[in-house]
Amino acid sequence: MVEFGTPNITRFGESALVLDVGAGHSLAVQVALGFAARELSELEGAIDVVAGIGNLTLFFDPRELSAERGRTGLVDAWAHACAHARHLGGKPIEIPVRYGGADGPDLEAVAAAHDIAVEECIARHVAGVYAVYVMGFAPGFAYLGGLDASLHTPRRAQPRSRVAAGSLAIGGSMTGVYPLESPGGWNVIGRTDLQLFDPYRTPASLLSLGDFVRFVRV
Amino acid sequence: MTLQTLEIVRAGLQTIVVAEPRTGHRAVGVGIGGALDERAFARANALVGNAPEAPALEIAYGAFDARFSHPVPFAMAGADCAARFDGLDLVLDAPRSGVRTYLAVRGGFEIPVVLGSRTTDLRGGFGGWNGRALRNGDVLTIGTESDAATARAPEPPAQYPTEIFVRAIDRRAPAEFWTHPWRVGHESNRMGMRLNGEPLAGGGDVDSHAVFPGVVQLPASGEPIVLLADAQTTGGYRAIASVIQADLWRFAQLPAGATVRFEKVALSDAD
Repeated sequence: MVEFGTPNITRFGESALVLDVGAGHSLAVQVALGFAARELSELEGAIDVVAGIGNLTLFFDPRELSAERGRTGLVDAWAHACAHARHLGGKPIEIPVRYGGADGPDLEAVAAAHDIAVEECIARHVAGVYAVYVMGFAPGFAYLGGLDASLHTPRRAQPRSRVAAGSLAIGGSMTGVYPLESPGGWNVIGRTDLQLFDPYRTPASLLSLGDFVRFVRV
Repeated sequence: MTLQTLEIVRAGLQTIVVAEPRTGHRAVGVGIGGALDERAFARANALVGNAPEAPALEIAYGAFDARFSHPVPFAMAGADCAARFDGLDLVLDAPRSGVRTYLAVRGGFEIPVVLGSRTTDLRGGFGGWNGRALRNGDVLTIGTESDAATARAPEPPAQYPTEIFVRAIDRRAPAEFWTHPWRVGHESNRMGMRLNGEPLAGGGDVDSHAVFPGVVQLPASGEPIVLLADAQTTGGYRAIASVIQADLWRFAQLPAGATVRFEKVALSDAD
């Protein structure tokens, strides 16, 4: 059993309910939210379940699920998550990455910002086991928590208008891979050939909430 | 049977294929999309006897030309672009009022289903017409499924005022949000509409949370953003209100410089 305090549930617009854990950021909270999300998505009338940092939103069809029933569903799912979450994360995933060079144009700057050698920077990033805290920003984009505190790096002052698909990057205390070419302000340190999002594949997204990620240097 | 087609001669500023919203994939970051003005979209489809969410074109700011391969029943709704039809050629000027025009053809356009919907996801680059806005020279195939018996008489073109009230549900918005007029900013698109006006206090970053079309965000700048159909699935700005779904279509027809006022309603009034 994990104790996170008393959650707060509020209505958000006409067909969404938000559970706010109110316990700050932690891996334990995000893993528990991932567990609760999986349970809630089975609820009759649930359309989408989206986790944030320390919160969870249930989108429901009001014709099939009353707000009251949704509220009960959230309370129950969260209670189950607190009871079991320690044992129940998502799937483990390995992502092969080429660090630095043209694939990671910001690697040297990140290393310099922390006054460490580039090799040390790579070693610390590779050593991490990361958890999918939140999915968002773009299809298949996972905010990965668990970045070594010595690698936390503010976003670039000047965002790039184009970041290549597969780019591995650091933004603040998070790391993540851009699934598709898009604008982006994170510090790009490497690149993978793995396709993180393919709408014609099932499942379309390689990563989902609560999964655990390791990066493998190639 | 010969294929019936529509060739895009002048694609305009942004013309995309729209169809049913794409729900069920927000958990992995896929937004819902769909027509910005659901009412005009459904009306155009109804006029040619299609299902309400059959694939049709959403044309922003008119200035669009297309050529039919055959005489095919079609209908337009939304912004009035003084459309002219000559032989098989359709010509649209810039809108007299409103922003978005919906062009439906009987049978809809033939568009494959991707992740449960035929609508375009511009950000993800899939759905609709090859996951992108239409370009000059694109040729769309016209479908054959329709129920012509339900076709209704055309309605006169809608007039869209440039000063509107929309109803929204409060989420502890500053009092001035409800009393001040807001001007539609130039940096507005299908993801969101930026509003300009006297900056509000209390905006800024919060922990990331799910957002959806209709959510009103307040960044540190103090000028609100109304999220629209192509909104991201999560956001990190404070959410101060949500526009009720029944009024959301109004934003589709507001040009830059138009004025919006928000009226606070209780959740029970939203149906």
